[in-house]
Amino acid sequence: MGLAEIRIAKGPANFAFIGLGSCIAFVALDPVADIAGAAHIMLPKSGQPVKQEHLGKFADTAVGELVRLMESHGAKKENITAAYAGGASLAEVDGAAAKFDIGSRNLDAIKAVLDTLKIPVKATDAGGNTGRTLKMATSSGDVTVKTIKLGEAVLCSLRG
Amino acid sequence: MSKPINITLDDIVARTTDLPTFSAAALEVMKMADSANTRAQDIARVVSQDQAMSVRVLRLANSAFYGMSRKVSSLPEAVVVLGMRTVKNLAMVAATYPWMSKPLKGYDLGPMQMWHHAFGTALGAQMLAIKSRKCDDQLAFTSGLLHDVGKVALSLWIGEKLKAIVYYAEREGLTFDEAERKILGYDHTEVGEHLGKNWNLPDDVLLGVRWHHEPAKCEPYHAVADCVHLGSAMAMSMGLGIGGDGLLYKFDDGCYLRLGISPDEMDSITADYVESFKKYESMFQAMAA
Ligand SMILES: [Fe+2]
Ligand SMILES: [Fe+2]
Repeated sequence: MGLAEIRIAKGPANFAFIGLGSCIAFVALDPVADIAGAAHIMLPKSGQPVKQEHLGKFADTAVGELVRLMESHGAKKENITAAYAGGASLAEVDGAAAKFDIGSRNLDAIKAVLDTLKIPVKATDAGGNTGRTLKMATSSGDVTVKTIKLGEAVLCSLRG
Repeated sequence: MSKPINITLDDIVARTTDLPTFSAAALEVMKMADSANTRAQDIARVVSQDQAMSVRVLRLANSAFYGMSRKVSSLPEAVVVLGMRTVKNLAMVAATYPWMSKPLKGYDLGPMQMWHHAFGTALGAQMLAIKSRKCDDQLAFTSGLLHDVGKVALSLWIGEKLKAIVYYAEREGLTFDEAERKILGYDHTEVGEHLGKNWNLPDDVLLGVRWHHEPAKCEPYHAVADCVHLGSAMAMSMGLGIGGDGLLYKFDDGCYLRLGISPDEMDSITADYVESFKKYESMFQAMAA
C-alpha cells in the first residue's frame, strides 16, 4: 500500500503496509459480502475541503471514503469490522512539539472517526517509538503485525 | 550490557576501502557557489568529469518527473533546460545514491529504504530552508542526503551487532543515538562527520550531519542542523526508511522557534511534503534502471 492509498477487494487479496512510522494502516472486512478494504492514513485532519484523490491522506476523510467504497460494492456497514496499526511517535515529544506528534494525533483522530461511524475495532497495535509492517490476507481474514522486537505475529482475524 | 563493541572512529574510516568513495566531481559541484561568477556551463563541465555521475544525472533529467517533451542528451543541454540549481541537486542525488541505496544490515533496512529516508530528509530539509529563509536550500538538501551516512559505514562494520544496540536502547529507555554512544563511544552522526571530513565535505554540510539529532548543540548555531533535524523527523514519521531503530530519537521542539515556523504551518508543510515525495518516486526508478 502506497502513502495515502485506499484500496478495496472482493474475494482473495493481500494488503501489505511496509515500514509504518506515524502513519496508520487501517484494514476492514465485511465477511458476509466478502469485501475488504485498506487505507494508508498519514495525517489526522484535513482542515480544508479535500480533493477526491487526497481523501486517503487524512484520518477524518479516509475511513469514511473507504466505507463508502465498500458499501458501493455491496458491503453492509453493520457487518464491517476493522483493525489498525501504526501511529508511532518520536521519543519525548511534548510541549510545543506535541503539535508535531503526528502519531498520537493520528490515533486520536482515527478513534474519533470510528466512534462516529460506529465501526467495531477487533484489535490494534499502535503508538510507541517502533516501526511496524502490517499485512492482511482477506481469504483468512488474518491481520499480522511485524516489529523488530517481536517479529511477525497475528494481531487478529477479521473473520470469525 | 552486552560486550562493548571495540571499533574506533578511525578504524571505521580506515576500513572504508570497501565503500564507494565520494565523487571528487560531486565535491567540486557542492563547493561551487551560486554566484554570478559561476557560469552554468562550469557545472556541466565539472559533472562531466565523473562518467558514472554524468550518466545518472542525464537519466534523472530525462525521468518522467521533469516531463520533458524531448530527450536531453548532454549535460550542457540539461543545464539550459533545467537550470543550474536543479542540475546541482541532481548531481548530489547521483553522487549519494550509490551510498544510500544498498540494504543496511543490522538496521533492518532493505534495498532502497535508506535511500528513501535520505532523499525524504533532503526534501524536507530543503522545504524548511525555503519556508524559514534561515538556510540555503541547496545546503539543506545536500546535508539531508548525507545526514545518516554514518549508518552506512556502521552497518558495514558492525552489521548484525547493531541489533544489540536497538534492544539495549529499548530496554534502558534510551534513544538510539544515546545507546550508540554508550556502547560504541560515539554515534552515527559522529561517524558521518568523521567520514565527511575525510572526504573534505564542506563544513556547513557536516554541521547538518553531525547535529541532526541534537540541533541545539550546534555551536555556533547554524539553521542547517534544524532543517535536517526536522526533515529527518518528517521522513521518519512518514515511514520513509524506518529500520530497527524505528523512531527512537528525541525530537527537539526548539527547532520551530529557531526556524520561525509555527506548528500549524508544519501541518500544511507535511501535507505538501508527502505529495512532493510521491512525485519524485518516478525519478528513483529512472536512477535504478
Ligand atoms: Fe540519524
Ligand atoms: Fe535520519
